[in-house]
Amino acid sequence: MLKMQSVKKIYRTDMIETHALRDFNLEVKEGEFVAVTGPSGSGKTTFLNIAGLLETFEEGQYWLDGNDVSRLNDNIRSKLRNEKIGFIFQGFNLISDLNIFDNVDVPLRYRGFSSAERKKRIINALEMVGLAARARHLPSQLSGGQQQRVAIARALAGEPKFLLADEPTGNLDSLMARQVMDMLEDINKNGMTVVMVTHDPDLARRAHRNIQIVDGQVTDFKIYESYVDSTHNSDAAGKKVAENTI
Amino acid sequence: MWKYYLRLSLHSLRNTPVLSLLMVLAIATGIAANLTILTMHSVVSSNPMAHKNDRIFAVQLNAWDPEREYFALNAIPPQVTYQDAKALYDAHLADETVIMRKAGLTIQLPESTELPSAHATRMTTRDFFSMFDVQFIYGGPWGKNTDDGPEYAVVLSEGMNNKFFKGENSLGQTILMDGELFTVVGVISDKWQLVPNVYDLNNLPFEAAADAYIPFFFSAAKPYQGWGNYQNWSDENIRNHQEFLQSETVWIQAWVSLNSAEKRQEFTQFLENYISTQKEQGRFKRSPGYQLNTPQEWLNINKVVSKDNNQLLMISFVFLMICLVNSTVLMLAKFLRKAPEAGIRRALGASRHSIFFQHLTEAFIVGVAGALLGLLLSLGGLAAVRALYSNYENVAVFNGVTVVAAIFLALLASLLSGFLPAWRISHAAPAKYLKTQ
Repeated sequence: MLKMQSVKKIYRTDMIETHALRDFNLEVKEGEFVAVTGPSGSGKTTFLNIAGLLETFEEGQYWLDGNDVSRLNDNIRSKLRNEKIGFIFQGFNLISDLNIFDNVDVPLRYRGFSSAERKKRIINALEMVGLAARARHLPSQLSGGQQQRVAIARALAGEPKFLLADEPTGNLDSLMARQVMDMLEDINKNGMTVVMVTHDPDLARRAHRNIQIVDGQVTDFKIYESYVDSTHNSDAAGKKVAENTI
Repeated sequence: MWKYYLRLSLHSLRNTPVLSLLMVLAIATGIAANLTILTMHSVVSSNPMAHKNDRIFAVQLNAWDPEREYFALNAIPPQVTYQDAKALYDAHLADETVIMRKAGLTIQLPESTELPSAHATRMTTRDFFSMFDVQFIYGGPWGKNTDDGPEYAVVLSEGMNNKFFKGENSLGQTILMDGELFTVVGVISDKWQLVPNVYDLNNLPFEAAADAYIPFFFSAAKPYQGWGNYQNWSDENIRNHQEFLQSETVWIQAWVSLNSAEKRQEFTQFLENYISTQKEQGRFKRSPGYQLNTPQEWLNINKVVSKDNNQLLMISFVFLMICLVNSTVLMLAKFLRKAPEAGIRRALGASRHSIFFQHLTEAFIVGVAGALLGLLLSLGGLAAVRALYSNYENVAVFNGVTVVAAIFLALLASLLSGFLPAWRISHAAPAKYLKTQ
């Protein structure tokens, strides 16, 4: 589904050159649930932005769903982003002056669906996250957990190929975080590929694989046998099947 | 997608009513000032006889002071003497010959007991009506014999006809003009108004057309009250009207119609011969002896569009640009405040073009609203000019130029004030805003 090979990303200012990713290699298979961890400034967000076709990179190659997307123009990247990728952000990133229905509608508008098709998809997506009854509410009228569920509905409405989640539970309390994680697991179980950036090792253990990024490179990955309950102790949590340090 | 952009734009404008109003007002003020000045300038600088520019000519004859040239215009007097005007008329050489002057005559109904009031009266030969495309609602010009007689015929303006005859067909009715009975032979539509009145630029070039028209050669009979300009370079001792008619006083406007090159050559030959003859009598000692001016040349010579007019127009455009810059700054501030939303949309699949056109649509709505409000304000501005300056009554009027200019300015305002902000926000890096939402 997603393959990056020798990707290099440099941020340049007048005075400083920052190597955000260096010789970055990663492959995510279809249907996988991958957690990406690492310290602050390690390059997780840069990886996410490149994976989500929000940023370009200097060297290397990136294949998405079998297609080389390394050097595409902005229009094609936007189209691919719209069709193949669903985003979920830490801060929810809902548009505050649009109601829930219109928020979920945003990516569908750029896909060019008819009005009837969009309405059908929006209602299905909101029903999937249990918020169909609140369709005409504004984001400010919902709790944090509900807003994140709306963001998930928005990400899923276009039936993307994979989800990119950037700290999806970072702004939520533990109960809501558990609900959102449960939802992501369910989505993954239905065949959706999920790549999640997180600081939380407990959440990371709920993924199939945990990739660690340090100084712009993948340094470690762990593969877990199964998912764990988030209230668990660390011994039972995520029995590692394999581990590798690069 | 245009409907979606429109919906988003209206939603965005409603959410920031004060800012939206400020942007619209900024554009409206600039457009109002510009439209007002532009409308007036378009009228002032137009040539109402452009369609005959190649075949009617204002005649200038240079019988001025041998010691010094005429002090204004192109150094040739703009009007001719009575003897020269008569010579032009009597030659019967041009296709049409107009000699005329403006006078003030009292006009009243014969049976009226009210005190009469003086009205602007054009004393002219009949060719005036055909040369300057005068539109009649009743009757028409008097006949040729009437010119030569002269016979007591009068053509009234529609306004005068309404005043004296309640707007009815007054052909054959009589009125008293300076105590003499004239018979109405025609009524001119009030819609006929040359702006500028190119045929007589000696007075105010934008004043209304005359209230009445009578044959020119009544001027020979007696000294009517002159409402035009009179200039004389000589120290003649003029004691009576006959001496006045024979003097070097210039007070008559002369126009000819020359419909072919041959006719023009024939007429210019006549002028040269005439001037040559007059030189033997000690006249026409200056050079050039004559000049024939097309309507456009005549407008230019008389500087109807002054340098002040042109400078005022330039200032109005500068003011418009300042207003548009203000609107641009406000729009840029508003759009950049919405940059996180643009970042979200980009993340969800909007291309740069989509974001650009979405915001340009909002700028377009602001531009159109500003232009519409500006158009309304300019109507007020034109009304104010008419109220303050009566001689601009026919200049400060809404016309086709105003409408076309308003449309054009709306588009320009939208593009100029919206392009940079829309481009700026469409090129903002979306990733920068996603984490900070």
